[in-house]
Amino acid sequence: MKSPFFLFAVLVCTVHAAFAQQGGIVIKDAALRNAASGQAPPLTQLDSGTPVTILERRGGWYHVSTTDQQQGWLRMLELRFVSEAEHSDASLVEILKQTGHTPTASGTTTGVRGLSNAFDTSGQQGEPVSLDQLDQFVPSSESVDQFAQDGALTTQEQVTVPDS
Amino acid sequence: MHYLKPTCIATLLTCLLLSACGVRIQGIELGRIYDSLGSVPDLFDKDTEDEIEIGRQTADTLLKHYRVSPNTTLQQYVSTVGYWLVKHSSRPKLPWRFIVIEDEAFNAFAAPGGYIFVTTGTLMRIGSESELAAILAHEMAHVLFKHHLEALQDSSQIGLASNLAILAAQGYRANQASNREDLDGPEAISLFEKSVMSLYEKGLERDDEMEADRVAVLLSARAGYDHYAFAATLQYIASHETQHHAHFDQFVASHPSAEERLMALEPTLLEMDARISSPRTLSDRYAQVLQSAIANQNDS
Repeated sequence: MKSPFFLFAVLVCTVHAAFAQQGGIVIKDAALRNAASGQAPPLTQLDSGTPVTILERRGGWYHVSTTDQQQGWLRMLELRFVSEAEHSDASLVEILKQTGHTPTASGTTTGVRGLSNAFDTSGQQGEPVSLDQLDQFVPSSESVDQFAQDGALTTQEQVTVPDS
Repeated sequence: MHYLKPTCIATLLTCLLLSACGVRIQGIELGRIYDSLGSVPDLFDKDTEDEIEIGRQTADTLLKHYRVSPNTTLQQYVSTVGYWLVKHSSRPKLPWRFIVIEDEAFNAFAAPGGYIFVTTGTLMRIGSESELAAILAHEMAHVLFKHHLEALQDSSQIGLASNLAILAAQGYRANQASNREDLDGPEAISLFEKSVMSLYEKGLERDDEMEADRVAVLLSARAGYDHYAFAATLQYIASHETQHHAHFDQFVASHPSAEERLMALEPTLLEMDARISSPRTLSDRYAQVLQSAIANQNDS
């Protein structure tokens, strides 16, 4: 039997491999820049239709690699993900269940994306929850504030939301 | 102290008139329905009471087709993210409920009055708390701007929200009643549920979705989240919507194309670039919570 550590290592490698394979297509002629900023010097110009590999997202920018291994930053809206069928993730879910671990997503926005069926949806587990029982999940105002503070979330007063 | 608003007085008079005249809408006698309620509920802010009643019955109808997740870790987390957004919304006093339902499909939806639903399939496909917040904020926008409420009024061909609320309340009572023959309930249930299911299969108007997209970016950004999170989710959806994947079919059928939505959002995103400082993605916290949720599920 494989050890939990081995399984976790396989899991991490699998996730990172899947992340590294996320493909993108440049949808309009765009500058590949050496930093995630419109002021950063352009490294080269990429034509619409150029395939790239997405390495990381930072705000409105993707760190990408071209087919000739040149790396740089593209504005997020200048590319789209390559259309693809969902990855088969049954083995990944099994590993998760055996180890109790999920991958960390430090520095990426990929997180646990791709684990489409890690929760039992067969309707066999536990008692059904009624609408009235949902009151128990309403958090106190203080706990919400603490939660925001823990995540370093702060109100951006300069952003206004239209009134309903 | 409670005051009678002009709209409330009008609603009351309408009900009394309907009762006296025996007016029927869609084959259901609203006067009789009104009578069966026994009394007019608290008349303070009747419009909101109607909205909440309609929302409750809508949520009840939707939950006949879905199962609420018993995973308390997930429910508490999603609810807490939701309530942080509520603090930044224009309607913080609504009885908001954020509900995780068990479904492998990618989907989220809302019901009037503050009911927000998100599937486990969505939670497992997104990659950060900021994406979750953006999705919840999009659904909240539908509630804030009463998109479903107005669409339900249209689809049921019952113009007044107060009449729709009476219909919803009658349906709810009939669901609870031991002797359904005493009520017009089955007819009321049938008409109301038909309107609800038709709306949620067809989806909202394109303009409502676009408005909710923009509000989602602004609301989640005001709450401190990464303002590009919603665009990241739309990009992910865009890569699946042409594949006819079973888990995306319903979502794709009831929404404008993700590509069109991304293009429409671009000016708002660029505008936010200049205004936002230190937006938070919180992908680590998201991964940790899901890890804990899966572990708790395995322990149960």
